[in-house]
This record gives sequence, structure tokens and C-alpha cells, in this order.
Amino acid sequence: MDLLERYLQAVRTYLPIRQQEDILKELRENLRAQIEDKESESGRPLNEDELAAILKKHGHPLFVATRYRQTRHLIGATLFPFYWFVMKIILAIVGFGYAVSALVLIAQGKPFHEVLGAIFSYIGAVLPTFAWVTIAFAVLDIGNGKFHLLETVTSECNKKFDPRTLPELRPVSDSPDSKPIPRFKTAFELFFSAAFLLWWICVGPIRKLALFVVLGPVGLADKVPFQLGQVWDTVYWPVIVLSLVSIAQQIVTLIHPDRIKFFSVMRLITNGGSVVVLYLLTRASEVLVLVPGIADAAKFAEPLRITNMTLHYTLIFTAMITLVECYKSVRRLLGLRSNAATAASTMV
Amino acid sequence: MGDLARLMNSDLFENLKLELRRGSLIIAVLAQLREEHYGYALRKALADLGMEIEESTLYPLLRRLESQGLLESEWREEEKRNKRFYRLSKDGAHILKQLLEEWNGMNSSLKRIV
Repeated sequence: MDLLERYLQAVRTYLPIRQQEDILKELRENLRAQIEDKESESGRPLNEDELAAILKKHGHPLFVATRYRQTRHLIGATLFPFYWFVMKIILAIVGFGYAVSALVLIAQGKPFHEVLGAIFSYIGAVLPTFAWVTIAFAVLDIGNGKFHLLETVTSECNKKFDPRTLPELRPVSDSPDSKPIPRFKTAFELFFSAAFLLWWICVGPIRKLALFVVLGPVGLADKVPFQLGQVWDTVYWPVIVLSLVSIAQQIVTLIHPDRIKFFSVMRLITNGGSVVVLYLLTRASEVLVLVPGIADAAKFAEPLRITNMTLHYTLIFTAMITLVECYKSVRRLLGLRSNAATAASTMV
Repeated sequence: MGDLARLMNSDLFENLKLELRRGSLIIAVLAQLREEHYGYALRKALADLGMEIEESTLYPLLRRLESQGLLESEWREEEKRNKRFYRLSKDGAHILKQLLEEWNGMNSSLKRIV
């Protein structure tokens, strides 16, 4: 019986403290009855192997003890969909906060690596946010088990729900062009549009523009021989207007991701405007010019020519990509028109 | 059918069987405890009637049903040994009646369906 006691001792380790004695007393009696039953069948006391076989069949002490504990979960199946929904919203809000702080840094003219650091610190904030939301819902789940809070909320919602208030049916289409624009993508674009606009406005004097991207505005204007040419002043206001139009479109798309027609028209306008700006830049004889009054100007003439040529072709390439985007917008708009016609004929 | 598919099917079957058994086991235990039994004797009685239950499932189940008020228990000496005897409580008898009605209804519906 030494083996039985050793087994019970092992089970005790994993049992809830307050019930240990009671459970073990009962378990001991049941196992003894089973052992005695076997003994009376065989007409002799069981040897250690036979006893071990009974205990092995009864199960590992950890799993046996676990069965005596209440089923535990952090967040139950009923509450989990709400938990996941709230988690996504809160992570989005935290992300928005970090995006705003990055924009503030850009507006303050902080170096690029500081701005990048602010963006990446969001990843560090995700884990504690995740933990706090999970803890809050775990507490809510315990409360729900005791006071049936969710049942009350669900029954209230069901009472107030009226199917007639549901949104109108959208035309169904398999075309990827007629699918709602993912909010995550739009939020991403909105952040970069706002960052670009702030950077464009706040970088002054504008001749620092090209180098700011890499190194930040740390007195570089005095150390490099090039500055932006006259053409950049021509496109300064058109770029601001185009950025504002883009931001307006992105805000509306974020709120109404299913307004594909609005999205496509606005994209066509902004991309068309961008092509015009790029055209103006490519037409300029010199995108970059030498800083006036620089010593050894002749030494920098060849590097300036090569840089301007590279920039010229880069701008042409960018204009071609933007034209492709324009074509996509037109195609999407035409697709939407044909889908609408099909839906109308189906309904008839 | 591939080995993986067979394995998945067998796992699926085991899970579904477990779900099917869970409710039936409670009915069987409650019904059997219309007569008083202690843990091991109950297990043997159910096994003799074709309802095998593992000890590690039955003993915690008895405690849970008791904590829910469906069973009552008392420690008593039998054959010079102290044993915990379980029996159906008044509430348990009422619930068992309702469960049996439900089970009979479902059973006859299922018979008509399959």
C-alpha cells in the first residue's frame, strides 16, 4: 500500500488546498475498494506491478487532480468576440496616438531617426496594452460568471434591435475593384500624407528639402554645395493643395471604406495633379542648382549634372507609375458603372 | 483516404463522441443514484449495465453534481471501512425527471430523422 500512499501524496500536490483532505480520503477509499476487489478476484494480495497497473489506469496525478478543479479560462467563449473587437479598437487608438506624436516631431523639425524611433515605440506599447485589455476582460469574465452581465446587455441589445434599420444592400461583385478599401491601408496612407504635408510645410528654407529625408535639418544647408532650383517654388503650393485633397479623401475613406466611387474619383484627381507637378519638375532645366557664391564652383559642375540627370529620370519614372495609378482609377470607375448596370438589370 | 485525413477523422469522431457522451453520463449517474452508492460501487454498477466511466471522470463528477445540489452524500461505515455514499437529492430527482423527458423527446425525434 506504500505505492498507493505515494500516489495520493502526488495527487495532493495539485489539489485545491481547502479540499485536499476530503478528496484524498474519498479517493483512497475508492482505490482501496478497487484493489480489494482485484485481490478477492485473484485470491491473493496484489504485487507491486499489479498495483502500479491500477494506479496507472487511474491516471497521472496531475491530470487526476486537475479534474477536481473548476474549469478555468481567462476569457470565456461568450465574451471572447467582444474582447477581440475591443482589443482591435484600443490598439488602433494607441496607434493613432503614436502616429500623432510622430507627426508632432516632424512638425518640430526633429531628425528623421527620432521620428522613426517614435513610430517603432508603438510596437513596445502594444504588449502592455494587450496585457491590460486582457486583464480587464478576465475580470469582466469573472463578474459575468457571477452577475450574468453579458446576458443583461445581450437581452437589452436584442430588444432594441430593429432589422429595418440595417444599411441598404450593396451590389455584390467578385471584382476586387468594388471591394471596400481596407481601413488599415487607409490609416497608413493618411499618416504618411499628414507626415509628408507637415514636412513639406515645416522644412524651411526649402533648399534643405532633399537632404532632410536622410539626415534631418541639422545645419546641412551650409555643408552641401547644392540647393533646390527655382522650379520647386513653382510647385510648392500645388503640392500643399494636392496633399490636403488626399488627406480629405483618406479621412472620408477611413470613415466610409465602401465609397469606392468617391475614392476612385478623388484618387484620379490627386494622381492627375501629381502627374502635372512631376511634368513641371521634369521640364525644369535644373532640379538642383549650385549654392550661390560657393567656392570651387567648377569642381561641382559635373556632380551636379549627373545628379540632375538621375533626378530627371527618377521623376519621369515616378510620373509613369502615377499614370498607371490614374489608369487603375479609371478602370475601377468603369468597372463600378458596369457593375451597377448589371445589378440594376438583375433587380428588374 | 490519406493517413492524415484518417487521423483527423478519428480525432473528430472522438471529440464528437465525447460531446455526445457528456450529457448522457450525467443522466446515467443521476439515474443510477436513485439508489445509494459509493464511488467505486457506482462505477461498477454502471459498467455492469454497459456504461463504462473512467474513475478520474466519475469521482470529480460526483463532487460537482453534489456541489450543484443534485446529489447528497454522507460518510458511513460499511464493512469496517468509512465510505462516502451518494444519493439523488430532491432537486436532483426533479432535474432528472426533466432531463429524461428531454432525452426521450430528442431520442424519438432522432429516430424519426435517422
